Amino acid sequence: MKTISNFLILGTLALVAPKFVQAQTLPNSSIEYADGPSGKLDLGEIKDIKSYAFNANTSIKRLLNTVEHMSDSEEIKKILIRGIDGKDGILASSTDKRSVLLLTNSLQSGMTLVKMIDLNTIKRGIAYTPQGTVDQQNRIMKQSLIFARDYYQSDFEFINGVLAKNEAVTNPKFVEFGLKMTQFLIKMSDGVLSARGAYGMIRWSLAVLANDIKNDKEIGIAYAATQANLVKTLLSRDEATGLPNYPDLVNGEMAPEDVDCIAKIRELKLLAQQSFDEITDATKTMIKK
Amino acid sequence: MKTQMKKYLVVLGGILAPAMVLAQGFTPAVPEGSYRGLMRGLEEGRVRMLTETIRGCEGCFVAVLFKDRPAFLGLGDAERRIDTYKAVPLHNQKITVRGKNDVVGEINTSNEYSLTPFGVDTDGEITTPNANPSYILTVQKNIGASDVHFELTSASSDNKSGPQTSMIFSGNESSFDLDDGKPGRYKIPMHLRSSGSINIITTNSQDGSRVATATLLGNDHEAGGTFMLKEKAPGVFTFSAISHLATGAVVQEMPKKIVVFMKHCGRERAYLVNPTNDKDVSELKVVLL
Repeated sequence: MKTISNFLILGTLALVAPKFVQAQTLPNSSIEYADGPSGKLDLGEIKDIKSYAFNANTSIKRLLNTVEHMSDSEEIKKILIRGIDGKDGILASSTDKRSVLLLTNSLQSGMTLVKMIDLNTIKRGIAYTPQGTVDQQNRIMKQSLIFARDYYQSDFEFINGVLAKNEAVTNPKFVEFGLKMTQFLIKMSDGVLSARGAYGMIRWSLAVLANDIKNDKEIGIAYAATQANLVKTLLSRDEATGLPNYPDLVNGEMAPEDVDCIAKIRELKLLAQQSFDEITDATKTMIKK
Repeated sequence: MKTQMKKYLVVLGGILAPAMVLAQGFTPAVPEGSYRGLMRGLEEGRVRMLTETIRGCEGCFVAVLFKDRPAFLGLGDAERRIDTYKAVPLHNQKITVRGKNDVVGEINTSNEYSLTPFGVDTDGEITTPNANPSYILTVQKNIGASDVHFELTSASSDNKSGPQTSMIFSGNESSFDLDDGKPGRYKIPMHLRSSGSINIITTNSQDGSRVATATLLGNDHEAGGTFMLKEKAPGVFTFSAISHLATGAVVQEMPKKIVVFMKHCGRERAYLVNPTNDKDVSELKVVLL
């Protein structure tokens, strides 16, 4: 029931939000690290992005087909990493401008988490790596591909809309995407046995949500209070506990001990639920107005 | 294949103790082991809990909980309930607790744990379908590995997996042991018209997970076939059918069973459990060739 409600809210959100949003500015934060496209895109760039999205979608489908019935976990991991992030992978040719596509954002999120889990488990050696870690990484990559494939349609409509209007626009639906992505990643984290890995995933996905709200230049301001609370809470907890934040988690700094992570996971899940509820409430308010 | 439909069997997990405690020689709150206890209430009877540490996740364990002969199985992880406290070992199981306002006190090592059952999701990965725990484990006394007293009570959450009744463990050892499923070829002797073999292989996977193939001849109740077993947690395998097509053998994504290996009086057993029906458990006698 909650899922249906979320769908309705997200659908309505795109229709009514622009009328509601006033000319305000989002609070600044020191948590900025995954900025959306900078500046406006000209028509030449939009055409280039359209062509890239089309090819990326084909590659995504091919990659999913390739690994669908494979059973060797290591082989699947190699193929997925090579296909997504290898030198000829889907993300290899993704430029800054192409980050306007939710498709690439989805894949980048998946790859970041896979690297984070690698650093906190596999790269530390077998003694630190719970059984099934590679399968969980494969699951994250596969789901990111499915997410990206599903968002291709939305990306395509967005690009075509821009071309039809013949005007430069930089407004992907980052809030909608961020909300779905964060819910999706937190669900994925339930299957990660390593508390460090799960903590890193949740901590990072909440920061992504904060960033996506900020990057949504059309309606993000309607959720400014939630964004500010996310940033404030995440940073204050990092400071109080000495826990590393992104990009340290991704760049090799270890997450804290498991027992610390387990306690923090609970806190972050509460923060996540609070943020989801606030976004839902803010959207309902917009619908009423 | 012998199908047992007697009482209950649950696999859960928990947290033994933080790594820092183990490293300094402190006795963990719930040591890895095999415990025998009593179930209270309407379903009164003998109950057993077997625990095994999860590698790379200090203090976490997977546990099997069952009543009489295995007939109910849930898989779980557990999170230590340390709330907002950070535990620092001091001496002989006494720890310093630091609360929000830096109130320092001394209590016994955190003695409550939440136990959340595992399940298998549609991607074929072990996860916690419902993140709410179904049990709370409370340690009453811990003198040593052979004298650990603890209770299991319902978590009173919406997760009702397993018998929702109290269980008391008063330091008695069980004759059952979790078995890692040593690599090798196991024969399943003819028993109730069921027979076959399981071949457990050690792979070079980065996370040390093992895989196995199984051939079951089936019986009146279940069709036989070939199956792929993949280790997802210590000694816990998913069990997926293999389809043989013109394009080659392919593994079905959705495993129908989870397999746990146990040893009783020196004899190996493999238990096949339906994660969506905790009373659908089959027992296979296996003999290492």
